[in-house]
Amino acid sequence: MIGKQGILGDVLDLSYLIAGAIIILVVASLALTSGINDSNHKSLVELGDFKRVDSAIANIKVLTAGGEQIDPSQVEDLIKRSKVFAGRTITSCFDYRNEEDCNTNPVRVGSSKAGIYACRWHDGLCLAPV
Amino acid sequence: MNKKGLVIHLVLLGLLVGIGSFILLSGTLDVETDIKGKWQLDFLTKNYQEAEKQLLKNEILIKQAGVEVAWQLVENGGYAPGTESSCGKAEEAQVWFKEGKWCFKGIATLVPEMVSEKLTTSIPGNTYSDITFSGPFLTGKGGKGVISREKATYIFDTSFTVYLGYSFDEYQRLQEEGLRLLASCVGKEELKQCLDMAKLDYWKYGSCEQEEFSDSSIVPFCIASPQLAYLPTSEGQKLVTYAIALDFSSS
Repeated sequence: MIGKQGILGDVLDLSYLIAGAIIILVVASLALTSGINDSNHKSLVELGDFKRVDSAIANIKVLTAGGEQIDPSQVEDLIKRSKVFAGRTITSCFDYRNEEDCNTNPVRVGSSKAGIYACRWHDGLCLAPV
Repeated sequence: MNKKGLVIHLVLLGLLVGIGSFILLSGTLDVETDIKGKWQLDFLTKNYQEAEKQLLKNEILIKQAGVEVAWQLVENGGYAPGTESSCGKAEEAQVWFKEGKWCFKGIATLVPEMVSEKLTTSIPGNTYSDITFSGPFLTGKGGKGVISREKATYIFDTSFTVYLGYSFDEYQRLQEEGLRLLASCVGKEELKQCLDMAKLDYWKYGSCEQEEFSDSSIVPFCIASPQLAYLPTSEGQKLVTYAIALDFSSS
């Protein structure tokens, strides 16, 4: 026959067991979830960078086809300085599609005179200053 | 507490102490996991994209070579630098036709040769064949490009089609116009009057800046590009002009 004390001891053991299991499950779940989220985030960042570089290459092709003289040694630098702005990859002034963005030049592409980066809007196109 | 209860207590205690130690020692709860699709992403960025960059750089160099060849031919009246028409020169212009003989051989074989020669020095790693031009495009077959790294090899075609913004076919047009002019005016006594009537507006006597008719049967012309083609120079874009001469004496 199990006495009252024995039953109480078993109930305490069971609740201790359940509490311990919950703690372990929460810790394991947190650890795995954050790890997976981190992995997803890194994948998206790398994929975003792939897309940026790919678009920058396409932008440079358009520039050269338009008669812009680019030295092959400039290619890596142009790609590195390309940034995504409002969903578009901006490699040169030519990639801005509206006057406001062109004149403010948030990505700071284009010629630099005394450290000032500027693009100018002319006849529906964004051009680098001469 | 019985023995069984004691074991359960100790095991749970051990697990909790273990997890606590892990968090304390590693400083984080995160379990490091590799990024998803790492191999695929590495392949795209380190193989495919490197190849695309290489092709872009090659394309720029090929375009530069094409433009250089175009200028060299333009500056020497359709002849390779250092060579001269078998009909000779008149006032620095290559004579294309003299004494009933058509001397200009065209540029169909010259352009591929000159471009190929330039590419062997500017892109020494690649070999190109079957270089041709069609309209403003320069095309050529290249070998296989290979970008290899551990566990990944990307093989790509280095053939090219480059937009020059200038057509070598202009020489064909100039030849046809020159032949028409010869057919109309060869042997004519009033040569200038005949040429004034027969020549097109962009055929100028002597110089494009200041026209001057030389009183000779061999007439030098400056011809502005019929398609108004501009080519880049170190001082910006410049209109292409050709300097050639034709002999209108009756042979």
